[in-house]
Amino acid sequence: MSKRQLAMVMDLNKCIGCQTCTTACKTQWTNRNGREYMYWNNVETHPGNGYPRKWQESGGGFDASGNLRPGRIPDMNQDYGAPFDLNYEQALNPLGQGTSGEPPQLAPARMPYWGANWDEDQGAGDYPNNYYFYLPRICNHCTNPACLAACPRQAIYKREQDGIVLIDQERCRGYQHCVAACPYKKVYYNPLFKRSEKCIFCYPRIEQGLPPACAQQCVGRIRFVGYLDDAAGPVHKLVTKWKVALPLHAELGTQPNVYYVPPLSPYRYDAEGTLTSERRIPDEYLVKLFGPRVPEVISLLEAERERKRRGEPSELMDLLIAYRHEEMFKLDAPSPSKPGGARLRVIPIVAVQDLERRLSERAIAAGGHAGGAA
Amino acid sequence: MSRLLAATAIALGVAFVPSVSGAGGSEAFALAKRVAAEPPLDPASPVWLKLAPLAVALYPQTSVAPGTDAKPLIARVRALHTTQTLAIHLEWRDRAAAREPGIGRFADAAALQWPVDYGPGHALPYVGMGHASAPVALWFWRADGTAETLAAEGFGTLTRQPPDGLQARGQWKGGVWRAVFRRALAAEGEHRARFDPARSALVPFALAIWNGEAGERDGAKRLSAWKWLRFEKGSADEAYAEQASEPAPAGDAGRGKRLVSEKGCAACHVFPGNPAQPRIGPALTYAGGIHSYSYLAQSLAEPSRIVVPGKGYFAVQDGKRISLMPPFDGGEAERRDILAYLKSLR
Repeated sequence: MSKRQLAMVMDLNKCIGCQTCTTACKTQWTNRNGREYMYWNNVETHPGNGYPRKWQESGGGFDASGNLRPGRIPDMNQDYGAPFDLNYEQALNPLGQGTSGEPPQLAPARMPYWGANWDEDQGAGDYPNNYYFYLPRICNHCTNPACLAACPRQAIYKREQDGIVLIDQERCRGYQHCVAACPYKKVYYNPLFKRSEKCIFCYPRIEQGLPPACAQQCVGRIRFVGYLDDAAGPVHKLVTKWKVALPLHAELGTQPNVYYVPPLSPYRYDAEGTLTSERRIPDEYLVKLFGPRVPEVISLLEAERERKRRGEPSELMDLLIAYRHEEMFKLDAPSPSKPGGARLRVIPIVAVQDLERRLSERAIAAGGHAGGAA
Repeated sequence: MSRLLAATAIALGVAFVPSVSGAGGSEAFALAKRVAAEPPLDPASPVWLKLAPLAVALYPQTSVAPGTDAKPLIARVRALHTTQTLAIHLEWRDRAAAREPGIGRFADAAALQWPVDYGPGHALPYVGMGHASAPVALWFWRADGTAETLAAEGFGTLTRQPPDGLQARGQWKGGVWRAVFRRALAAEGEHRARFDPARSALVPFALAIWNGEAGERDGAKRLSAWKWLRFEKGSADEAYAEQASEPAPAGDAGRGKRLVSEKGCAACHVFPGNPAQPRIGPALTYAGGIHSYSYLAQSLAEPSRIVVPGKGYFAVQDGKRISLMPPFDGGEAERRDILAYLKSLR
């Protein structure tokens, strides 16, 4: 076990499903070199099949006695959804193609079957009681990672200083046991390098005292980042002090370190069209994802929200509102061995580009995340 | 030669080569003929196909997870050497070629295993990737063109090594894979296979083959027992040849089978006819196929000498792994019967 554990809290009441986190992650890490199909960060609609398709039914994790449960490797087309290959050349050629003179319609060369946000906004229930919510997902950087347990190569490790789970690219031999074993399906096989890869919690940014790109770019301010044991940090306050942030599928025994504030939802209408006191998202659905404490947390959120509405102070609501973006992140100062680290916790986008340049100059490019343990 | 091996060999149309006998033993050798010209890397070269092969049986790896429930397989081994180079030619049946690994997809592969240290006085490493302080060097070929040198000291320790000049090329045709491994006899660096026919003409080797379309990779493979390569032009050490020879089991396998039940082996080991599926000790399903007589005899007498990693059948005492299996305490006749039974498991 690592000495300290970095964790992320995501407030699902504030996620608007804009996919800015997904884009931030993709442009930073996965838009090249065999990673095109991967979404280290994705935002999926619930109820729904998610990404990869039906990942919740794909096995993995641990059984009640602590043994690895069998899992399956998702299929490229059916489950991940291969990146669309569009016929831009033909469809967008002003001179047209063929004898008809009409260019063909812009369409993927291969009929797509699934994608990262294929069932976005579908949800469940009938009007006027239909409902859905967004669930952003990254690697959970578990305290007891099933991927690590499944790797016969000892290629997967947790960093001592922050508990980030990484795959040593020197030791990995592409067996993909980790892909099957992760119950969240957040380890991906890179068909170009023939090794497995995953979310690295933007550790080069963490080492500069900066939050991961997905959290930095989140326009809804839903993501908090900090050490679980840092009593002064927002993560500790939400997870340990207020106990409103819950792990996803904790029953699978991996002790995930991404925590979710469960979503409230509007009240249901009855047959006469009058509002009831029952929430549209059924408790059972949320309990299935976040465990038995959901109703208790929802009551607490409602009570604190009501206090705030009455003009009374509420530390919890102030935290969740996140008046100041920089207060959502509490990381260590850049380590002295890494000169040039930014002092500010939050930097404007221009400076992020500068950071990218600096990082690439230091050869911390994607794929070079092998020997992360300093 | 076991009945199964002979039967399978006939079924595959493998011409049996009279074995080059060791000093009184029944074990066959793969003879590396000495040639003047560099042996060809082309697996289809007639230079290879006119050589008489040694048939080697490979058995499913079932000792540790993940294993495979595939059927045993015969590979044919041919070898050539010059004063500078050793080349090994492997040939085995595979209905379909799996060439490229992908997401949830695995490629066909084969590997040669060599002890890093061998010769008179050196006991053979554990056949499954060696054991602590008895490392093995591995030459690995995969159908996507990968050729790499690795080393290991037991399951889970496999580590890629700096290139040592190994070349490997495979070709699939008509349901048969043929692959050639070629490297200089000498090699710089640690954890290398090294050959010096003038000093030792006998070299132990073992084979592993992965069937990609069956999802085989990692420990899900078929492996052979330790076999012997003999350089045609080299010095044969009589003592080492003696060590290399496999004594014919002297006991009664039928009695051994009964004894295995009486002595409580079934509580920890999987073997044919054991209704329980215990996972405590290594499975013995193919013990006779992949282990030498002397390894099995030593394991009975001294179970803690090699504790197979990845299993929970040990306690740690003074930093050493002590097997939970008690040393065999029966009589000599019983011991021989049990060994005869274990050797029949293949």
